[in-house]
Amino acid sequence: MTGLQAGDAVDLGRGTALLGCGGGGQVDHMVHALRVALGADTVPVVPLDGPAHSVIAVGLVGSTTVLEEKTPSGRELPDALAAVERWTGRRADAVVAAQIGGVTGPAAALTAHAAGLPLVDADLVGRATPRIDQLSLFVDPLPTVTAAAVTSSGLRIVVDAPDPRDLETVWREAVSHSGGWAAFAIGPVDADLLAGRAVDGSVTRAVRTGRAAGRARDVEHLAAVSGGRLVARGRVLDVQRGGDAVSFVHGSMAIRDAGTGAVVRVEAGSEWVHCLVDGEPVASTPSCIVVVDARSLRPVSTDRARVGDELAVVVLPGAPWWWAEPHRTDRVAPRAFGIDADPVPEPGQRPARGGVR
Amino acid sequence: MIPVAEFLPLLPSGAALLVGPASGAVAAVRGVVGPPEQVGRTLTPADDAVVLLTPVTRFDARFDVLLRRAATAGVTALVVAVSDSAPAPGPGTAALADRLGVGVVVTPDPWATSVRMHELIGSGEAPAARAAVAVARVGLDAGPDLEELFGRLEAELGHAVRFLDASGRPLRGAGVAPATAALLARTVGTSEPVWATDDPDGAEPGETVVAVPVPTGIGPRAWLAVGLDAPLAAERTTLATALRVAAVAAGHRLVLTRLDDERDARYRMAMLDDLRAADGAPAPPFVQRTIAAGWQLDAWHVGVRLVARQPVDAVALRREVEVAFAATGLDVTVVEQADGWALWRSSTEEPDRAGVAAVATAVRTAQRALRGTVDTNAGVGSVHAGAGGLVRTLGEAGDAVRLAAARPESGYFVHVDRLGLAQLLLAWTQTDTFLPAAEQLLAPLERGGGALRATLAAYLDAESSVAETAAVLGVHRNTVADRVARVERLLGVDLGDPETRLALHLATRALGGA
Repeated sequence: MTGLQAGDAVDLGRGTALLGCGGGGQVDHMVHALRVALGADTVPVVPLDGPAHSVIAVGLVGSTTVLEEKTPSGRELPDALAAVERWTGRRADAVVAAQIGGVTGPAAALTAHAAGLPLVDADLVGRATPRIDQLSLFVDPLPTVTAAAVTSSGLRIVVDAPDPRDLETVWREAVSHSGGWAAFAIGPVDADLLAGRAVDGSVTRAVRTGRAAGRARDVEHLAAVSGGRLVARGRVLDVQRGGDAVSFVHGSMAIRDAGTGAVVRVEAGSEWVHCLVDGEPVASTPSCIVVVDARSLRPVSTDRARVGDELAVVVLPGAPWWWAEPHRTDRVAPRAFGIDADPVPEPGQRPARGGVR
Repeated sequence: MIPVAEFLPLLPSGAALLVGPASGAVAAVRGVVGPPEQVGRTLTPADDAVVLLTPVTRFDARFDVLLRRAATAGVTALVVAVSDSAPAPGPGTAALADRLGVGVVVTPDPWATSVRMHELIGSGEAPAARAAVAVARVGLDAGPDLEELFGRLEAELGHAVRFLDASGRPLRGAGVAPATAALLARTVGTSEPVWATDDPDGAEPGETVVAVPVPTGIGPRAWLAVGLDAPLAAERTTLATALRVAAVAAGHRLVLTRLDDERDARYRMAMLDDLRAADGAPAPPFVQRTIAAGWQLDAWHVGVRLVARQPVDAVALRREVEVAFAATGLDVTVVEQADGWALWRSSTEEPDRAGVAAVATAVRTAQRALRGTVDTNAGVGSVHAGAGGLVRTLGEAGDAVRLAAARPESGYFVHVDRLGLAQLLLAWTQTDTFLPAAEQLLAPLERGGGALRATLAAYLDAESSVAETAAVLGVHRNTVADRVARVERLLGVDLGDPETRLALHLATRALGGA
């Protein structure tokens, strides 16, 4: 894929919604804004090892619920980008999505278009995650990070932080006192450095997945065309939610599989994180556990599942980048989401360490 | 192997099935410390029931994993304690437990539950010994009151304690099935526990009752019993042992109570005898004693005598008599006698005819009510005043009750007010002095065969008419005339003499009724 056009916006949005894995926010508004903004234009999509030298990662942080109620003005992301450039004195020549899943995917495309920059065909997660320090860029230490956030109330914060966890702390505090969500930009990062620290091909995957999902007839078909596996389809027996210090929402949903009668539990910490069939773990992060409405095939977010809904659980493969090293896997394993469980390797995936039982 | 459902009711209080089936069976139990995921890793196919000694904080995916591992290892029951802050397991956990066939039992005390299950499964005698010691302590500590003893026994044993009479009727607590009661009534002279199961071959066997005889050495026997829904062998042994110790404690209290009752009864009997001996003028110290006993001598009295028609334990049944009279609303004083009871009703005003009739009616009602316990003859005296009057009306009641013995047609009940003069006269003849005299008087007739005495009685009843006597006896009148002549000859008397006729008539009547 070399360029995004208005006609691709809906497919991109559908794909990023699925890769949001129950989190990441509602994409509809951002997709609409992207389609209108693009008009007849094209946002160039460049490969990770392409011409760009200096890349800025953009994304959104904070409450996705507030994001739905307080929609972006369209200036927040470009302003954050500009703030980073001004502070570091370096111009970016490409934009990369901090995470492809959820609203951030289309938002990054919109930012690239507004800034007149190409979009790198990659992201820093391959799905959605709740925290900044879970971005692939930060798994291994960086000398220093410059990042800017623009809150929905217009507050601008630029942080030079040696540790991504400080970013997380500062922004959470700022966001909770100023508007509920913020747009952020991180970088600029040298393309050579980024190449080893990013999930390759994410934009293409999102568009392809979204396009395939748009043609899917039913959940079996959806799983087949999106390269995933259908874990369960049935009615929700039980939904339990509770607050948690590590992740924003911690909860659990049980589904009775209509075909086999199996009891399927999906645990959530912001996103769908861990899935068990009859008490046997079958999938976990960094795989993409996607819950969709069994009829409309629309993704269901963790806060929307209700007892009695007829849902389907589809597992899409996670980015192989996370499985390559144990310390990478740890960063996005269920425990990083506040769920005490070991990561479940995908079928055919060689576990990164012997600790998986 | 013991089904989960059977041992559930026997676990320490608070234990209950939380989710999953109770159909699995258990032959081994093991307690494990640690969170669910850690416990799950230790499960082996040798486990049947596993007790989580560390409280569960959440029924989440980790618990699901534990359920799965339990099912894989063939564990049929998980016993858990739930920490205070833990939410109840959701429908998802319940559905999974059902699907995997693993019962989850919740208990406030997993350690105690673990030990208890071990005992229920095992065959050692330690639980029985411990129960015996615990019950013995209850027996020593509890007061003299039987009810207190039973209450503390129930708390100790965890089962409702039933106290049954010799025939299996409940004196305290629930009754038993008729077949069980019949078995207990038949079982005599054992000191061993008796087991009985309702409808053992039925589709749904009823409760099993273990009953132990209460040893008192006196009075009627009694049973101490406990009903069990799930008769586990270990529980049976423990209960039977505990009940045997408890029976000794109960018997001890029964004997003490009995001793008290006996002493009181003897005191009352002696006081009544003293009153009779005082001849209507009791000495002031004696009057004081009667007042202390609640007797109201200076009043109008109606005496009543109840005499049992079979040997009776008047002391033991005093309470029944009091209850029977209390039910009629008649306020009476009861004194035990060798053959039954002497009772009287005192009132400060002289009772009128209706009042006396009401007393008589109440006595009849009480007599009927007592029939389930003891068959009695009842006699009621007339109204008399004062201490002497009390002795007199009781005497009249005594005469009346003797008459009542021969009167099934009046329900073995005689009220002196309704007696004819002749009957009173007859009553007076039936004394210890007259009866031997009458016997002596008529003794010569025995030598001439029984027919002579019957003929003499009929002849005197028939106003000395030979024809009438022949008709009554169904013999020829020459026979009657011949017998009468023989009577005159044998006794050496003249039946034409009115004095002789009266004496002989009384003698025949007195002996005839005897």
